[in-house]
Amino acid sequence: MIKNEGLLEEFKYVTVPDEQEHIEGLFASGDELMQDIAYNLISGNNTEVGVLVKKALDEGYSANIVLDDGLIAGMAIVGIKFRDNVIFVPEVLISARAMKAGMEHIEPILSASGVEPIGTVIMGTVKGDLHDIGKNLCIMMLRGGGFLVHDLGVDTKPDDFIDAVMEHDAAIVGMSALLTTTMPNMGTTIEAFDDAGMREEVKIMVGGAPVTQEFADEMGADAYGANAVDCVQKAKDIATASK
Amino acid sequence: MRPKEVISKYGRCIELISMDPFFNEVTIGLFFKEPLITVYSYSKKDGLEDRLKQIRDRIVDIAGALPSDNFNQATFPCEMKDGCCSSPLRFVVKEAVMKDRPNDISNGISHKDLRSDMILSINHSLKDGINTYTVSGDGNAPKPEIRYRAVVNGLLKYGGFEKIDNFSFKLKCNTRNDKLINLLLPLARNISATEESLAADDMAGQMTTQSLGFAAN
Amino acid sequence: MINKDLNMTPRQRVLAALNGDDVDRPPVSNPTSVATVELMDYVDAPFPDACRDANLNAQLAITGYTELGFDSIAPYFSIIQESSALGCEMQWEQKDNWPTVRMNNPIWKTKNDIKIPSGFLEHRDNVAITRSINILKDEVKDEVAIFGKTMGPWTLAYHVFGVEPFLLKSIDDPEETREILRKLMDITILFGQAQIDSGADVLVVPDHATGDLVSGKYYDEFLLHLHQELVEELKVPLILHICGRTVDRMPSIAKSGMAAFHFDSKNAPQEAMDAVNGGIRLVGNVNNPETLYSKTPADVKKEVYNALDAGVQLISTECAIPLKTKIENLIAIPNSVQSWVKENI
Repeated sequence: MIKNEGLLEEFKYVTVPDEQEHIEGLFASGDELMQDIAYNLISGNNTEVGVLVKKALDEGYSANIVLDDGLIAGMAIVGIKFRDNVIFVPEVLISARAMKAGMEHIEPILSASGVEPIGTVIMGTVKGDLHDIGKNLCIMMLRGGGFLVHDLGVDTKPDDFIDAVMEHDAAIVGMSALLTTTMPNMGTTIEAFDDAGMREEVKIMVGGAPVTQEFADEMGADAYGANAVDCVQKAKDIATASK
Repeated sequence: MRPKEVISKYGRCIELISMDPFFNEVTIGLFFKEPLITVYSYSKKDGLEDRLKQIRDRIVDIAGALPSDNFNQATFPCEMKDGCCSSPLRFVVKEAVMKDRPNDISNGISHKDLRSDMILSINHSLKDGINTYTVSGDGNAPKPEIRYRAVVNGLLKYGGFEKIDNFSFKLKCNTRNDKLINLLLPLARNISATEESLAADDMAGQMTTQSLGFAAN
Repeated sequence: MINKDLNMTPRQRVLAALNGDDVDRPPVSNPTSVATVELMDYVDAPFPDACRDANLNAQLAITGYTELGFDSIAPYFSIIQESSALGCEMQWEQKDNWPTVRMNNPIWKTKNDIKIPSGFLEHRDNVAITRSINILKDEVKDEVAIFGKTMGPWTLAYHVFGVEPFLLKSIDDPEETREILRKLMDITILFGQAQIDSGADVLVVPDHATGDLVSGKYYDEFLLHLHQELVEELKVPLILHICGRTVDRMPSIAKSGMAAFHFDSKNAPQEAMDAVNGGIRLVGNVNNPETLYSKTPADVKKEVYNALDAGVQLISTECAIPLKTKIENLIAIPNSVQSWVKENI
């Protein structure tokens, strides 16, 4: 349950019932320190997030708990607010900066853990699109969620996605687009996998501010991530289904 | 000639090559007004007429067009009724202007596939009075039929041709034009790469918040 | 109101429309650019030289009137001239591409870095514009409206500080951001005035606080009062240009006091007219990347009619047109205005 007052105010921006349930689930533990991290992340207080994350780790919280219940939970609300035009790029930039401040303490622990990755994901922003905020958030969370992620960057051509899948033996491709004009390139990329005879070998998920489930279905994608948190969940669902 | 006169005389502009690499970076336009296509440039540089004729002759040579009496004009055997044979012209003029290579069909219509180890071929036959072209391949491919279908789709898309079945097609005017098909085959065998290349071409010279750099990185 | 008996020159028509007065027909204007590669060949004035040499610049700019039939001439094709004069690192590109500022290597970091270099107005990339306006004024006299252009402080800030650093600063330190914009206003006013002194009838002010990146509230918080100030300082009609979806900030833009707002095709003409509610004239908004670039004169006509039916006062492309736009689609714009007037008035 959400106890942090600031966070309760932020939660008011989550208006879709499914999403409300999902976010409430992320804060189900009611842990005050985690909610403090989440709220400071949403507010863009990067110094405070760094301090709080370190404090949590020093107090014995696991890196995964801090990541999931603090950082990812906070970014979930940021993602929704950005999608709904409550906030714009400057606000997302400071939250991303705060996320990064927290990850600086968490990433070394996760990398050292030696755990077998759940799966390999190729991530990129589609051809013609130079935005990477959404993609970078997804990558951070996918890595935190146990995936091995290869980042192709922005403006990624269909052939580069295909080559990366072959090189890294990846089973999942994630594409993001932030412009309505570049969204069709998701379809082009999916077609390219078809042309290459590789469509059956990968699951393709799409996301980004203007992308919708309907659009994803029309393009022939296997999954649609409404935000970075959803992206991780969909990737986990795919990984589980393929076992 | 002033722009309004050019448009009145030569019709709509099908394609612009913004910088001719072989002639002073002039802009070459390909115009179409049934039944003629016209190669034209607003530049007044010396030697331009020779270059325009050269491009017209290249179009005739690589795309199976027929030269008209004017040095910079051509048509197709079907006289391009209702715009027939105009769909592939944007690719034809690009090839005619930007490249200096012949369109060799002495060994038939064939090109290496980029998505498999096959050599793709397109064979002509006359079936019930229809000039039919059929796609086939030689070499290894996990699912060759997928490739043949993809190639046919590419040719329909870029050539404006008509489908006969999953592996065959014809020109709308039912003429035979092996050269034109050989020219389009490299584009059709990899639609996504072709689309990518067209999109990149289109992006050049556009002013958008992205091209201005006013999009967050 | 349209009164066919008025029989106006192009310049009269444009100025009347910007003032909200009666016109003989809606003017076709180009607040940004209608330069194309074909027109560059026609007058032998290719980019980038046409951006950097006043004579070539004027030769190319005038074709908007002489060959396309627009009612205005806009010699400042891009958005980078004064940023070059400030010392920004430039990518001048070639005939078929736009010059840009290398913003990943910005020249300034804080408000204290802002300084107008000595000889700023005499820099070749500013002279290319001011001298071109002189040449055009001598040529067309009072027949055609000449549009100058001066970058607003937000656009200048992107160029000199870099986009991401400036956006971060806007939220980390709004006070310094305001001070930065205040100081950059001096550049906007200086270059704008120089163009008025050279003969510009109108000034276009691109200020890219676009919906792609920032909220409508940003316009209120950072720019509205500065734009009101520009109206006081620069004594010609001003046209504000902001790309992208801007309906959320149009009610505020309508309070700027500027003569007109040049709007993008992402905003439907009727919704834009409703948003400004008579507070400012509108200029626009034929779509560039699809309609002008890839479609036909018939498609252009549809969009022109749509804008005119909504009451848009000056008809234009939505932004600087793609350099490879075909001339027939540009000529379709004034042709469509003429046919709409015949059919409707």
